[in-house]
Amino acid sequence: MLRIFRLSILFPSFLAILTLSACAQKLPIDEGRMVIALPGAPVNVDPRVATDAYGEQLLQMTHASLVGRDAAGEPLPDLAQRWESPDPLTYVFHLRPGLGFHDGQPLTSADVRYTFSWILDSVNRSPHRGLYRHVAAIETPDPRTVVFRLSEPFAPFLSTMVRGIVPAGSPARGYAPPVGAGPYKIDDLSPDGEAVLSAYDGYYGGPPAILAVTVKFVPDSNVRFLELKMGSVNFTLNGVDPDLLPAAELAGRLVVEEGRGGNVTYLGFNLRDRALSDVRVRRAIALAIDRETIVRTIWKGRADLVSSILPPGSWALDPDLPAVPFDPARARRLLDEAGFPDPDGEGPLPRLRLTYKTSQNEVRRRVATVIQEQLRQVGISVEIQSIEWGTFFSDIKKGNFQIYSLTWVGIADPDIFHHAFHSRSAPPDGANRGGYSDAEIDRLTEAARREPSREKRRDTYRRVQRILARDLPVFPLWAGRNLLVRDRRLTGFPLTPDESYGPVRAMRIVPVPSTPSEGGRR
Amino acid sequence: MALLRRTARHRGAAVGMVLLVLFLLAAAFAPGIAPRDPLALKLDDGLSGPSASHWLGQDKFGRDVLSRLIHGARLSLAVGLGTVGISLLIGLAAGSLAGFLGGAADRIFTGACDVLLAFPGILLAIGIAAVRGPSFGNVLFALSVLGWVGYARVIRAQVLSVKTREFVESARAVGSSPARLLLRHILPNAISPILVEATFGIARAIVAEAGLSFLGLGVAPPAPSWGSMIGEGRHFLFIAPHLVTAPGAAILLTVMAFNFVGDGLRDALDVRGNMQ
Repeated sequence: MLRIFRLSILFPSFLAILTLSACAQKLPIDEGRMVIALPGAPVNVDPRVATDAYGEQLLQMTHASLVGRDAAGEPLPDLAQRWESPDPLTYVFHLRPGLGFHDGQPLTSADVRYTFSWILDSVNRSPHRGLYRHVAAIETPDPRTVVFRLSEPFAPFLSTMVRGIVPAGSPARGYAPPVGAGPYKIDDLSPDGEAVLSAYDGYYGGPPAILAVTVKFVPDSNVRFLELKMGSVNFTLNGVDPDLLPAAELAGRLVVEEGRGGNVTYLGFNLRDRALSDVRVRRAIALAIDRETIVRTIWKGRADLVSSILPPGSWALDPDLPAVPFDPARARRLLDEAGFPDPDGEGPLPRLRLTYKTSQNEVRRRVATVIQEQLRQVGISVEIQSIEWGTFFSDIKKGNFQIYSLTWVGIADPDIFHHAFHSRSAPPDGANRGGYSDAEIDRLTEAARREPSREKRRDTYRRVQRILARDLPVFPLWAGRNLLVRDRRLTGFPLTPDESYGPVRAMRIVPVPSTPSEGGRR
Repeated sequence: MALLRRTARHRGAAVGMVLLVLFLLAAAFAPGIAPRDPLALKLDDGLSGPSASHWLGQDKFGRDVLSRLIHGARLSLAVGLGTVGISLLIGLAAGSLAGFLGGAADRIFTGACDVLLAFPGILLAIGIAAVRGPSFGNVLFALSVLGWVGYARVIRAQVLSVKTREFVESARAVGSSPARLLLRHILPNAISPILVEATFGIARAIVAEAGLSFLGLGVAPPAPSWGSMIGEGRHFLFIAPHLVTAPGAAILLTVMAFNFVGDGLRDALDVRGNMQ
């Protein structure tokens, strides 16, 4: 049904563009307004419950958290000016002086406690509750001090403090517009249209230079591209089809920037499936996929191959992991060994049939089409089921799949290995959707999250990655690079691997740079 | 044969028939005619424009657009003919029985038709296809579910008018069984408007299938369908317009051909027209 919805967006937008081009043009950027296009509408804009990427991206501009994150994923001061951990079970945060919410109310330790207590209260059924289950108590000795007491050591704790703080007493429903303490406040929010933001004067770091920001939710990639060309949108991160990027650059007013990405796309296998429970079959599938060609052609080279689900650049990444090569001959041999001989050689009959579930995202569908054909070459017949996101994700969580493809977004800590591969992390307690179970992985991931020393954690996670590379419960494919298309006058946005929109607050609109013409420099 | 000849006298219909024969031949002998394997990927040539080796260019995956178009003709015609075939069978049975039996059966039939006609057909088809998933059978089902109602109504009206004619009366008088009466005497004389209607129906079904495939609800990929070719190609409208124009033109021509033939058939079957 998503596609129908897209269509209904497509035509009015075309009309809008036509009318826009008909009038004498005064673009938003000429009036000091930055217009961001997100490829979809947020499902939720309450930091206590939002889990979708678009919701979180909007919240990065409107809500502040105790701790921020730098480009490498390391914690940075945000609302908390500094913090200390006197022992592995205690974290003390010291808030900045004079903090306030958009509505003028002061932000104190009570608001911090309220936000996390609300998430921890099982009545509220927050999807983030599991993340904070080690929190035993939250104390507020004074309005500027918050103390978190943990029930057991939890090394990734600081990375979980990247959660927007809401005013104490904010109701679960009717929290609109959502009030936060971030650099922008939400003036207007229409769920399927756009969010209108304006600079918050009381922001602790001083109000942002760009006073007016509109965030448009534009699901159709063609419309995003057209709006960019017209100038009615002037900033989009990962919003333009890789094939259309050269055309975007041609527009003159726009510039394209590329940065390392942190989101790893992978193939997930259902290990409860008779064929896929055999590691030889999983390895054969991995060997049959020519990832380099897919990256070169579908992604136009704007992605990097990976061998682990950790984002490239993560401190815990094992740099010496063996990469799975493209070797269809070996794939066929492995399938023979695993008891799936080719019934008729060159003939049309497959060795085995599998279904491959994916969302309706256009690039994902293209990837699925290529993988389908590459697996056909080794005798595996693949049926692609490209289904609407809600149904797709619920099927994946229920284990109702053979192969699926998904992307891990915003992974900051290698504790993801516990979340995704521990035998007790089956949904809803985690994301071990394929039913993988390995005693060694269980032991290592449990030990690593209790280990305060980063060096020792790194060693443990390298062993974890070795085992996963051997067992292939998922096949990590690639990490897409982040691609920013922006008006050349919008400057000062550092691309971070986690696609954060937080740095929008540091951006400025500069007058058209008087660069010499391209021809002159040749 | 006579009917064909009379239809062909209509200039548009003659053009339409030639086109249809071409499309049918293409569909029937697709593997022989298509210059390349419609599924074979040549990823590095993705989005190439028309060239000597690929007359209509290549899609995002480097597949030959012409070959996909030819294989797509199979699918479009199969959906068109299949949907109309199924709808006709159901429509003929339901409509002729209702008209022939009359009374309560007829009243129930008319009521049911009115209810069914109130459903927006394409939306129902989208709903069905979305729930049941993309496949050839589901497309046929989704399009036939309401497709038969129109035929049934037309045939009912025809049966109602034919069954009071003298030759039916006399057949009844000599003791023909009701089944023989309906099948031998009434239906053959009631069927001509349906033929015209069916020709237009095929065109409508082809457009509907293209619409469903465009939305990703048609036949499962990678099977080439004209609608899904447009759906996939629209993302490259600005850099590779040939991806949508070629299948678009194919749909246009096929639908036009069926409509021309339908017009011709109507004129040929029109009794008044013949008397002039």
